[in-house]
Amino acid sequence: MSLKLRGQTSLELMFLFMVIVGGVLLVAKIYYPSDTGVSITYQLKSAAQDACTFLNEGVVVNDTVHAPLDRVIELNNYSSLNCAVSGVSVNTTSTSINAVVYITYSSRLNATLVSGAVRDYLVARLSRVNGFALRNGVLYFRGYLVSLGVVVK
Amino acid sequence: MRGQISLDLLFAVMLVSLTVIGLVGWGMNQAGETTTMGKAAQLKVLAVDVRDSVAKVYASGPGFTVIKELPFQLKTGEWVNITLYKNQTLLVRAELGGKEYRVVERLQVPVGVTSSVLLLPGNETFQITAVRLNTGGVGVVVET
Repeated sequence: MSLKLRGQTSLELMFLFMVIVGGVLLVAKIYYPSDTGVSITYQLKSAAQDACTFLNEGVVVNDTVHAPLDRVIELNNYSSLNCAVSGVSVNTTSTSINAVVYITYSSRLNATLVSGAVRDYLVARLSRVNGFALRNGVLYFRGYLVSLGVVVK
Repeated sequence: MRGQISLDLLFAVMLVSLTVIGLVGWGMNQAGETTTMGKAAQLKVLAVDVRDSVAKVYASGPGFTVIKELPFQLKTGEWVNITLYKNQTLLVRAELGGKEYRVVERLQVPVGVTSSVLLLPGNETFQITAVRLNTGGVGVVVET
């Protein structure tokens, strides 16, 4: 009796687990888009803060990711930009993510130059993070198209 | 029975390793950028320190020397290059961990001549010396 029945029970248990896990996945899927929003907000915020840290440090780092910031640092005579991230706004729709990063700085440098440089850095930096992909110069996150903007306040 | 237990164990191991791989990947991602930032900060501190030392040495007059040591250890293949330019600028270039860094500082005093020093692993000290120039003024040079 023992051996055959034990195998049977375990098979039933596996089916049961399958049903339970399937149910959990079904429920979890509803919350997935909001999780995408939270995740990209966090990634954007930390990357933007890194961009500001580099601008404030005033040290040029010669590689592809930091190249956009290097021009700003050189034009600012290697001194601090007093850059800070004042906010991140993320709007998730069914196909795309609209993200805006707000930064402040005090320097005589042109706002479009700085915001463009920070945006280029963010794209280069995020495209190396797991979950992000860069196709034809457009950033995607988990299949969502990301339209990224940097605004100087 | 034994086969069954090992299957359960296999699932458990798979789940644990997936979690660990995820965490390690995320951690490495964060660490890479933080390391770059740390090295850049160290170089900035070095550049500002050299700039201030040059001003002090200049003020002390010819014959005065300050011996400086790099605030960090260099590994094989890494180097730091410190240059004082005649046009009153200080350039610190470095290659650390496969990345190239560059800082420029404006010197507060005229150094008179262009001088440069290359620091390599095991050779991490340099001197900032005030010299008498041919023109009669005071100059500052860096040397090993």
